[in-house]
Amino acid sequence: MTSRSLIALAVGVLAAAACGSDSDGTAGPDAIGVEPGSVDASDWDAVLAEADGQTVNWYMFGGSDAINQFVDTTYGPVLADEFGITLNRVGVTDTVDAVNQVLAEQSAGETSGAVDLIWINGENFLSLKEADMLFGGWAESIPNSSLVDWENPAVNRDFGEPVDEFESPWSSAQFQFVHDTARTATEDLPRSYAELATYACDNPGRVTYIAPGPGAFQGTRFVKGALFELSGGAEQWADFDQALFDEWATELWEYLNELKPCLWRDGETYPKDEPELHALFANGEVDFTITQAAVGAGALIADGLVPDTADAFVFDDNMIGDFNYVTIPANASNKAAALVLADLLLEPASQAAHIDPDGGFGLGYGIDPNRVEDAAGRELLESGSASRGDAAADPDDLANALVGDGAGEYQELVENGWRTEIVGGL
Amino acid sequence: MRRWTGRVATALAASVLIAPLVVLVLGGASRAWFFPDAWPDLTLDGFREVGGRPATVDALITGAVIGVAVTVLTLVVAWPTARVLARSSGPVVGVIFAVLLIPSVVPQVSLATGVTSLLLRFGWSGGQGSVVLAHLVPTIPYGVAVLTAVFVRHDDRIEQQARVLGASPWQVFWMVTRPMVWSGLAVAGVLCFLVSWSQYLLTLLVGEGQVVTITMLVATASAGGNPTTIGVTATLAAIPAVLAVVAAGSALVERE
Amino acid sequence: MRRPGRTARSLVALGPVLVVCGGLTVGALALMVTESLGVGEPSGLVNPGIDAYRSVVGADGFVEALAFSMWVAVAGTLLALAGAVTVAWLWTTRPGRLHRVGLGVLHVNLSIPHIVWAVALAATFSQSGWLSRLVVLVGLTDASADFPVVVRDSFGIGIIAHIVTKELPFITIALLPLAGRRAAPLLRQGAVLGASPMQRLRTIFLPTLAPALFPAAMVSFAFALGAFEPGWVLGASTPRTLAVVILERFRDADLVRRSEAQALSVILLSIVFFVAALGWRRTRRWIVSTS
Repeated sequence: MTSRSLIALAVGVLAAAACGSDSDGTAGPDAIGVEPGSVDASDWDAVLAEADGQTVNWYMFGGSDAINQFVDTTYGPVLADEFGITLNRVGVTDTVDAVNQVLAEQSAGETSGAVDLIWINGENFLSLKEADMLFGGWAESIPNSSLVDWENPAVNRDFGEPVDEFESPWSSAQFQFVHDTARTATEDLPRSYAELATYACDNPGRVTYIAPGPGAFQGTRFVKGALFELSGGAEQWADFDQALFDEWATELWEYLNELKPCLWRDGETYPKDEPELHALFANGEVDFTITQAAVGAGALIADGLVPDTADAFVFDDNMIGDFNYVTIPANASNKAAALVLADLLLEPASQAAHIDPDGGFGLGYGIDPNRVEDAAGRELLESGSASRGDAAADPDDLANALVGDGAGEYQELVENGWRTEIVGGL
Repeated sequence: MRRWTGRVATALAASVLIAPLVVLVLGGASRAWFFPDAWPDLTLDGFREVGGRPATVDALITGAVIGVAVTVLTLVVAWPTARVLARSSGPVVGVIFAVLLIPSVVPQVSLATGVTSLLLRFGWSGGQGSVVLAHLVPTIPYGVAVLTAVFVRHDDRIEQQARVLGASPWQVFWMVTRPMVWSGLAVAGVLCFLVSWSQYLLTLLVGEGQVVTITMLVATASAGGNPTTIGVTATLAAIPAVLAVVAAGSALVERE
Repeated sequence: MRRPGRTARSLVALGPVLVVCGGLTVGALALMVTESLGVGEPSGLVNPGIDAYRSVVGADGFVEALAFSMWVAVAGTLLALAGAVTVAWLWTTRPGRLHRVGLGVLHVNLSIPHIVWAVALAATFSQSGWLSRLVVLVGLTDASADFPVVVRDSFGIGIIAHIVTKELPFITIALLPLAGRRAAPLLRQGAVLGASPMQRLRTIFLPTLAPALFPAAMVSFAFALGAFEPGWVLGASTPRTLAVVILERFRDADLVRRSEAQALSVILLSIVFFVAALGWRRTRRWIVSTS
């Protein structure tokens, strides 16, 4: 008897929940109240006044102790002392956890969300943008946005998706390879995908790459680089053209399938993320790993992830570079504080600090040093850029090989195609 | 001969269980430990640095407080439920059992986002209390399952006798029932504590980033792939959990 | 019927908490199902209908992935069960201090989260892992490539090892209360009456443990099928377990992929329920026959 009434109660809750989710589902963003706690980013004095006393909950990838400590010790005190803002850094195993938090709040109709700022780019940015859960119209209005080169398509497009003032840059990254100078001499390094194939087959089992897929964009980037080289250039891929992909896809899969038997584990399996590839490299199972840091292998050496004889290098061309950003969810509770933090990240002093391989985390600048008018700031940025450490790739090589990413639609085509054509299976 | 195969098999099994633990701790006590070094250069720098941070200590305490609260609540709820389930039969038992299985098989991502979404609707999120409530979802099945198994075999005529002889309900529980089901209760308690202790996504989402447990630090470290950080945080996280198992051990090894 | 009123009353008193948790569980399940049907998606009605199910079941490689997931889950759970029963048997019939210590060791890894245990297993048994380094030290091999592949392999050895090493302690710990209290005296009686060890195991030990064996086995199987960590860390690029595919779909920017992830979760859940229903009938007979 009692059990039956319990079941009835449980069914009632279930029905309520299901009904609840239906009604939220049919409503659009207005029902969520996209701009209830809206803040006008162009009225900076008002922003500062409102931010004073707030806490900013910054959700970011928490896997790097160096980045975590840098954020806590560099931005935290400045925010507290100069702006009266408390920084609460929330570490997540993957940015998608923050995305899921926001989406869960959206489906529950929550208007004052837990997430104020997210370190984000690529697919996660696209997820939130498509779900209409981003606070907009601020990224080009904050004071330091003048230091950002918004004309640069690498800045105003994120994995090919227009930024549309929904996110502001933090740092920049460029795809590079890393080798161990104790094992491979600089003269023997491959400088193109074609040379990589030769190297791999001359040294069977010593080369591999990260499996392309959602959350493993470094793998997709590697494959895209091959696509750019095979098709003769990266610029043609900036806008989406299905016919172009159809034209070159066959060659791309051919190249990768020919490469396959020469790879580590006969190309039957691939590392799923950077840490796994770093471990294979550090333990001597493969000869190369990758990095995206301006300081090359410096940050990895400082973290003890690779031997200290590691050094970064690039191919002659097709090394994709891009920016990573911070964004503010539409239902953030502390938007003013988030804006202040986003602006602080672009300060020349902050930028110069984060490129340092030892004290910072070694990623490149999010701002354009040429736009900095303050002499002291400029000097900091220049000396920062000059002291990237010995494990960094030559800045000229980096600049020569730099290309922009392709249109966003190619991401899925490459990832799905790779899975179907190279490894098979679901 | 049979004795030796038994011993060898046990040794092999034990090494499969122990070796990874050793590797974990050694990783935490070293830096840049690569092939082919079978033994690393030991250093406690990692432990000192990470373990010394107030944030780490707070995370340990938070996890323990939540774990204990969850365990107590779960046992209190699971006890009468298990007694009823043990004596019932029919489809109701099957349905309840099916509901209990759900949290174990539903992928963490689906369960955590679903529970968070529901709690948000009721306005119950964002503090340690909500996290405790959320943790009950995966722990109650374990509590009920273990206690039901115990009560199925439980002969409560002795309790009836005690009541007939004038004992109060509390006396019956404390002096008659409890000794008979103590080991089951200890196992249920330990399991519930461990399940709560090892939650990451549920705590993150329901706690809205305000509640940080040591397991969350372990999870982010695992994502980052740095053996030192992983080893240190995992070792620190393991200590209270191991203590819980050891504390219950006395009840576990009790025999007739 | 002995005093049903009192227990029922306390059940009602605690009803709210039970209902909340049952409600949360069932509610989360409901959200999962509705999302899989394309209803109530985060950004509104996307694709009401069973498109998600059609696209995952019809996808190339679904059957292989499902078969592989079932293989590792069943093999892992059965091995864990056999091992746990063995440990419980040894502990019940052969007392000794060594067994207590062994038991303690067995249970340390219960306190390690799955992701960490998977990473630790990989670090120990990979080709450049600790075991390989010991083998090099002893001089049996020279390079990491000489070491056999037991993790990130296409047979799921590494995944099965994770499942077994994690579930064996859990099942053992669930069996011990019954083993100590109930089985021990019955086994002694059986020995006195002249039953062989095998007979005692089959007709006394196992049925006595059945009420704990069944739920523990079901929870283990459910975990083995639904957890992504073993496949994520210890699996190869193909074949992948469904749990890993679910994780990947959940991470996809395309919200339609989320529906597919939820659809796969519903499919996994259905399999577990089906197996549980089958096993429940069998176990009921066992329990009743020995009450």
